[in-house]
Amino acid sequence: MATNPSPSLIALSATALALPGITSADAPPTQSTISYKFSNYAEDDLSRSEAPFGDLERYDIDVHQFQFITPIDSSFSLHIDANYESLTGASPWFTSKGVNGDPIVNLSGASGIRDRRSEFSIGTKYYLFNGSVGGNIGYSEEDDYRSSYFGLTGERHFNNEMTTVSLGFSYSSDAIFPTDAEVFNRVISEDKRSTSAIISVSQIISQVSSFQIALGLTEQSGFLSDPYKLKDIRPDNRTQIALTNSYRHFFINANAAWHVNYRYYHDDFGISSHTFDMRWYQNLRQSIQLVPSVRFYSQSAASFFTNVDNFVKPADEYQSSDHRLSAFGAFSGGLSFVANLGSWTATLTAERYVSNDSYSAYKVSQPSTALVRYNRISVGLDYTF
Amino acid sequence: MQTMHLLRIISAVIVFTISASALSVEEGELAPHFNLPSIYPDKPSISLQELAGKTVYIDFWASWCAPCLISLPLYNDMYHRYKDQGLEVLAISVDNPVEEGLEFLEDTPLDFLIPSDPEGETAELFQVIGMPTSYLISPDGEVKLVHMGFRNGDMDIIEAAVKEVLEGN
Amino acid sequence: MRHFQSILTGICIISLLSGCAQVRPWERGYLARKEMAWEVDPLESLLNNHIFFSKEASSGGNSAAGGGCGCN
Repeated sequence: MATNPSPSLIALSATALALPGITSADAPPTQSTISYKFSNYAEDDLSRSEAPFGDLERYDIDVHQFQFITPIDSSFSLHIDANYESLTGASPWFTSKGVNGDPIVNLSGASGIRDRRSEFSIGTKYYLFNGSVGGNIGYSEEDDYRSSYFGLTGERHFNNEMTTVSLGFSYSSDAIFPTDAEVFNRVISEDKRSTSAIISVSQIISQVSSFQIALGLTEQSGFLSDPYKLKDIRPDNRTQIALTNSYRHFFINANAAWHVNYRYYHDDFGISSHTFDMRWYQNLRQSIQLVPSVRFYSQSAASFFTNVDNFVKPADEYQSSDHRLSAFGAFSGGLSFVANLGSWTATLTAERYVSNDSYSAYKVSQPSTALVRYNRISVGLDYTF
Repeated sequence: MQTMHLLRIISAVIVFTISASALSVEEGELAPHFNLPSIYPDKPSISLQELAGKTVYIDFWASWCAPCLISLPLYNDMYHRYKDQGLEVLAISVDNPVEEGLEFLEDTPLDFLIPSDPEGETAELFQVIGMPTSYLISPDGEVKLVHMGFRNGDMDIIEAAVKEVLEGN
Repeated sequence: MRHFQSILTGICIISLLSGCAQVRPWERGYLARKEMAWEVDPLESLLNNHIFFSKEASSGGNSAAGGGCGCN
C-alpha cells in the first residue's frame, strides 16, 4: 500500500476538475483538497474636494474563504464552500451640487457602517463516461440581506474530448431588510429573484492551447433599487447578457502559461461593458510561480443615471446617482507569488484598482465623483491529502 | 452572405462527424507487437514478443496524469503478488520529455518493466483513447481486458481479471 | 440578430478547428498543467467576482446567480 503520495501526484490534485481536455474519460479528483484564503480590501479615502462634508473614509473589508473538495466513491465529488466577511466604513448616501456646480458626494452617517456577511454552499458532481452532471445549493446572510440559491450543471465531451459543451442553470431568491429603516424612512422589507442560464463550448486547439466561449443570460426581478440612497428608483426588472471568450496558451520555452479573457456585457438598464484581462503564470526554479495580472474595464452609464440627485422628480421616474451605474473605466494590476511545498501550496497576492470616468471607452455625459480606488492583499493556503 | 453562412454550418457538421474516434484495440483481438527502450537508459529494451507465454498487463501512463500516479503503486503490489504465477507488468510511459517520467520514479520506485514511448508510437498502435488505459494480455497474445481510466474500486476489477487469466493456464 | 450571428460564427470556427489537429490523449501533458486550467485559483476568482459585482454594474450574465449581497 502506498505510504506517502508522491509530490508529482499532489501537484496534480483538485484542479483536474477545471482542466481543459484532461482525459481518462471523466473522473472525480484523485485527492482531497482544503483551501483557505484571507483577504483585506481597502478603498482609498475620498478627497475633501470630492466630499466637502462628513466622512471621507470608505470601505475596509476582511474576507475569509474556505473550500473543501473531495472525491466520494468512484464516481462522485463533493465540494463545500464557506465565507465570512466583515466590513467597516461608509458608502455614498446622496450626491448634491457643490459650490462651483460640480457634483459632490455625501457619505452615509458619522458612525459609518459595520456589517458582517456569511455564506455557505454545498455541491456535488456525478461523473459519467463522457461528461458529468452536478448540483449545488447555498445560503448567504448579512445584517440586512439574505439569499438562498441553487444551481444545476451538466457537461459533455465530444470529438475525443477535444470539445466540451457545458450548460448551467441557477436560481436565487433574496430578501433585503435595511437597517434603521424607520429612522431614515427606508423600505422595511423587499425581495428579489434572479434566474440565470449559461452555455459554454471549450475547444482544444493544439497541444499547448485551448479556447472557450460562453454565453450567459440573467433575469432579475423584484426590488432592484439601493434602499440606502436618499433617492434611488430603478426598474423592477433587469435582463442581462454576457459573452465571454477565454484563451489559454502554454509557452514551452518560457515555461509559462498565458491567460487572456474578453467579456462583452449588455443589459436593459442601458449599461454595456467591455472587460479585458490577462495573466501570465511564470514558473521559476522548482515549485515557485510568479503571476502578474492586468485588467481593463469600461462601462457605459445606465439610462437613468444622474450624477446629482434630483429630489424634485416624481417618485415613479427612474433615477440613481449610484456611481456604479455611471460611465467609467477601471484599470487594475496585480501580482501573485505561489509556492508549492510538498502537500502545501501558499499564495500571496497584491492588487491595485483605480477607476475614473476618463478611462471609459464609452461617452461620458455625467461623470460620477464617487468612483472607487482600492488596494487588495490576499494570503492563501492549500493542503492536499 | 446567406450561402457563406450555410456553408460554414455544413462544414462544421461534416468535420464534427468525421473526427469521431477511430477504433481502438479491443478485447478478443491479438495485441500488436512492439519494441521499446526502457525509460532507464542503462536497462535493455523491452519487446512484447519476448514475453510470449507470460500473462502481460500493459498500462499506458504519464507523470502528468493523476489517476495514473495513483494506480502505479497499486500495480506494484499486484505485480509482487502474482509474478511467481507468471504475471509481467509493462507500464509504458508516454512522458515527453522523458525526464519528467524519471523524476516521478525517483520518489516512487516500481519493480516491473517500464518502457518509454515519448513519441506515442506504441500508444497510437494500441489506439489509446484516454489516459490511463490498460490491456491485459493472455499468454497466447489475446487481449482479455481493456480498462480505461482508474477510479476507486478499479483495482478489484483488474485483479479479478488477472487472476482469471492466470488460473486459465 | 447581429450578436447571434457572431456567436454562431464563433461556434462554427471552433467546430472547424476541431478537425484541424487532433491532440491525442498521450499528447495532453501541457494542457494538464495546473496553470492551464480555466480557473487556476477558484477562491481568487470567486473573490474577484464578488468584488466586481459590488463595485461595477455589469456582473451577472456569465456565472451562476445567487449568493447575492446587499453590497453598497
